[in-house]
Amino acid sequence: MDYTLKNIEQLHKAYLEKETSPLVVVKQMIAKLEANKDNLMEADMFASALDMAEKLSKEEVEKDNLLWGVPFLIKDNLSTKGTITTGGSNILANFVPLYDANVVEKLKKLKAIPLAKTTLDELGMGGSGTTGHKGVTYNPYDESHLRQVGGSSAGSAAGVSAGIVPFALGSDTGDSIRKPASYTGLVGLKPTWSRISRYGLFPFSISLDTVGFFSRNVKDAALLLSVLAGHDEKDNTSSKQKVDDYLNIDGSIKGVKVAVIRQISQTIKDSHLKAAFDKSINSLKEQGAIINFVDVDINLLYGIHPTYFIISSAEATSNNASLDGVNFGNAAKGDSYIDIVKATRTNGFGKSIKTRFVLGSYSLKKANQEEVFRRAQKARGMIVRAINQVLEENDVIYLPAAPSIAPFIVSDGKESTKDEILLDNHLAIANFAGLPSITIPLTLKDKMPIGVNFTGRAFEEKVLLNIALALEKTTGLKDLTKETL
Amino acid sequence: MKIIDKKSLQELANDIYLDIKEEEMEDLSNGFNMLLKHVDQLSLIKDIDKQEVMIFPFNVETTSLREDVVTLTSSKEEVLLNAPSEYAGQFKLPKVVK
Repeated sequence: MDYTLKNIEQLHKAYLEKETSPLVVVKQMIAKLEANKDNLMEADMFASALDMAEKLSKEEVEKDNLLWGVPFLIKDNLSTKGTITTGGSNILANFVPLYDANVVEKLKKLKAIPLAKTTLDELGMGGSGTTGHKGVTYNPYDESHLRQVGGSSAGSAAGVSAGIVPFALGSDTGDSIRKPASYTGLVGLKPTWSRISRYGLFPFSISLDTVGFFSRNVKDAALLLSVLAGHDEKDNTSSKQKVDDYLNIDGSIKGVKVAVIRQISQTIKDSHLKAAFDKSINSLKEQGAIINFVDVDINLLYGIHPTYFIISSAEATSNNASLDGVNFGNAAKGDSYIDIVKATRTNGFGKSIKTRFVLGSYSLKKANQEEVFRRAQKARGMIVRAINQVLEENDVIYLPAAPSIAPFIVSDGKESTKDEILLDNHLAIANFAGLPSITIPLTLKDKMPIGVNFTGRAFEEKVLLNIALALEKTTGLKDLTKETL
Repeated sequence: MKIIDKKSLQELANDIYLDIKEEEMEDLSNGFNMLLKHVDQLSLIKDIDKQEVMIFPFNVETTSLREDVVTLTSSKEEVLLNAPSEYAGQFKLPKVVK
């Protein structure tokens, strides 16, 4: 029996019924990871995984702990004690953290089994899965290897959708979980900012960064959130707000108010996506939801991508100043302190993020700060107020997660229109406002998935998970992997 | 529209301890032009310059006022395991004052 395609609940049941053991499952998953051709792995943790699985296989299954013995993958910008953690960058190619990220520690305490670290766009900056130091990560759905998997959580999305593990950890600063989830037919959850501890996450843009995950269905996402959410004294930006009972959802959505932002939904060009999106709105209506088409100032919406780019680049420039080859990292040789730092950074960073850092530095310079960085922060405030106003009268916002199926790795070079840029980048709204946001699969076109997205009020993940469950029941696209298609 | 020459871009890079190679200059220059377009786009938002800046999504109650508790997080030996160059239990750098 192949256990690699099981979701968390199914795997737990198989353990409870003594149908299999963690050791058998880990061995199957390792074999699949080794055979995989999507370039999704940064570093393996096979030795520790086999050791842990062997020990667990001699113990009693913990009945109420669904994560007992469940293998998972970890994006390589989350620290793992004793295992190289590179952030997808040569500058950290030899860096071994001294501690586990809070989310890794929590999962290990529950006896879930870390199996490998996964690829990402360098230091989390990018949305294509093509800029990490190990090269392009491919979309498992496209055997020709022409299409992106999306990023920056590229390897985590590839690993779950290729049918290797039931879930994987990621991080989301602009849409780095929710966009690849759309391209790979997965559930991708970005929680409320501060809901999950960021201790051990390499910072990219601290006012926008969140830790989240990929799963194969909504119920597994609810389970993961229920164990990962909560205050952490090591991250004083983590919230003390009570953690909801996320598993207590049934998909009843009678009376739930759903806003569709007209200026965004009207930009859908892909006729297949448009038909599927319209059909899903009807389905939500039939289940009792109230659909409200709402308007938001178009110049605010066109400002989303510029605001994201400016704020994230500026914060990244500052947050990554510590990467200098003095205390840790892949240091270059030099005759002076400045020579060492400059050579380390020049050789260690890839071209794409060097550009971001220089532009970030420009935005922060005193002479430009008001016109560039401060203006973007003002735009952020205006966008957030407009979105929160929509959410005062509605429970969730419902929109496509991407313009279509995964794009080609090599672009056609055509300049995108403002509408195209908007449809491709609107998910950053949730990062600006710190709102929870979930992508789930909606439809398949040419055997490639396309997802949709719900964004809700801060700390109301339960509302979000519940309506996502309702839609999942309708689409039937649950537990999707490349192999089950 | 503002323009920026290669020398100014190199100076910006130098400020953050980076050297831009000749073959990277075109991408950087394109990136700069895109940044200017972004700034222009934001200037179309009505009354933007009258607004307050938003730095974080919302305030989170922190633990910054708790009592101090002495704990050992990492030992010196552990921390130095990642040191590119180490001498006598300290990070080693070339002489600053010569």
